[in-house]
Amino acid sequence: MSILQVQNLSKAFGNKYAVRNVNLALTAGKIYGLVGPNGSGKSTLMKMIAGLFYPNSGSIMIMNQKLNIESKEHVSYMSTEPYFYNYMSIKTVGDFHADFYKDFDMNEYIRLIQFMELDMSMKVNNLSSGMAAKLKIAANLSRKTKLYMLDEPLNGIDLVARKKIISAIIEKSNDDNIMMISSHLIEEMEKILDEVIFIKNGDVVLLGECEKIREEHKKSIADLYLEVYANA
Amino acid sequence: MLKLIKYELLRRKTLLIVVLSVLFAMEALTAFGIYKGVGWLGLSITLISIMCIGVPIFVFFDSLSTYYSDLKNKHGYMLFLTPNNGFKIIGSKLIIGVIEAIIFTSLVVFFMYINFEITHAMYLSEVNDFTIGFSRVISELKEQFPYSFWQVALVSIISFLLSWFSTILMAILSITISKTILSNNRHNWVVSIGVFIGISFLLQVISMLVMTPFGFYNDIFTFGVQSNFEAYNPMLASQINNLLWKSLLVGTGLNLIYMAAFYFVSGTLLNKRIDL
Repeated sequence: MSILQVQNLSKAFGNKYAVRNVNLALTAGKIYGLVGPNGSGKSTLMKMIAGLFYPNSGSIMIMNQKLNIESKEHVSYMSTEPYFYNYMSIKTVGDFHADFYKDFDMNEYIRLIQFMELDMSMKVNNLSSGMAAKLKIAANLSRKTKLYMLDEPLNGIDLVARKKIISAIIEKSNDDNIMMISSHLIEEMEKILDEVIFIKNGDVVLLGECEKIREEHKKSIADLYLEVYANA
Repeated sequence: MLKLIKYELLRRKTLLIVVLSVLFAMEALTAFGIYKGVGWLGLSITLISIMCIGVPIFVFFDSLSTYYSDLKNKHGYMLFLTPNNGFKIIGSKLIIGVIEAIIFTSLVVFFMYINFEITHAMYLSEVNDFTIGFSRVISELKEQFPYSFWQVALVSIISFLLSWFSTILMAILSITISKTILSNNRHNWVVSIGVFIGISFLLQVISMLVMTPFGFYNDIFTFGVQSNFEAYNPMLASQINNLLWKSLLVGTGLNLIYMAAFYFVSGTLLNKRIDL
């Protein structure tokens, strides 16, 4: 089942293209890795799919429906930047999601908050960057939606917590949804990815199943990453 | 939209408590000034004036600053990722503005009533003179004017509020333009201010054009020729009252149309062209 279709999608800031003529057709049941160095266009692409950026050209279809307000119900996007209101507590963040997303599971949220060793009474503005990252993961993975987009989910996270986050992602992935994960930490993410999308200067330069790519290029995704972006 | 309003209120909880505390403190000082009398009365009058002017200014800046902050800062993602359309988002912010305006205006009116009662109790003779004078003015107006004082007061307050919220919506439209169709412009906030000034000017022109068929400017010109300020002319006063009434009604109608237009364009832009 095709969940996300992107056709000739472009976005420019001034005269510079952040994303250029990107075409994607992502099917359910897979974990996709969106990889590339800083400024390659990963976040811009995700933000357009999430409806936070307006594309200059091209189209986005989610569940065979043109991107609109209603299609946001099928998308769970976690930005790399902290984006929860400072006045909120962890409990209020959960209440907010429960109020606006029909697919939000409060029991799952409580479980994930405990799993991440956070406390419901903690205030967002008192959280460390690692705690804030864990909260973003917990809030997004507590939804039962079709398309999850996690932008740099391991940023600012210590080694122990990284394992917890990776296991939470695996646990959440199923035959009905898509996980799209962007990360610089290719070595850690490689083992859970089904397919990978290499993006360079706004262009998709390589796309395919991880296994096939490894066989074809006779090297790991992490090594290929170093090769592709050596001069980026 | 109720859920959006709930979170807008939670977000402002501390600010609203601070503003309420400041208003109560100002009222306590005002009452103290009235109690002390003479030189202190100046302080009381100043504080009452600040409260009366401060309330609409606070509502204006609070409505705009939270909206601008949501479009400018990353926490806006939280709001704009939800499946709520632009009309609901702007609507919730406006309703919060209306709630604030009602609460704070009612409070200031209540304070003024208390101050009047204190003044009445402490300086009875002066207030009696004032009350008598005020009643005489009201009864004279009643004789010349087909509408009651309360009708005029109500329409005036509604007209002022509509005009104020029309200005708030105009500013919201300017901010929305800067974060949608002008989002790629490096100096978009300057353009945004320019858009605000431009729309204000355009509305003045439209208002003048609309007022003309209603005979508004012709009436003013006629009064200018007829008026003799040294002699009281009840006929002329009645005509001026009717003119003001007409102007209030037409102005109210125009503001409703402006508000609907600003709301529609801002909501549509947020739905179609947002660039956070």
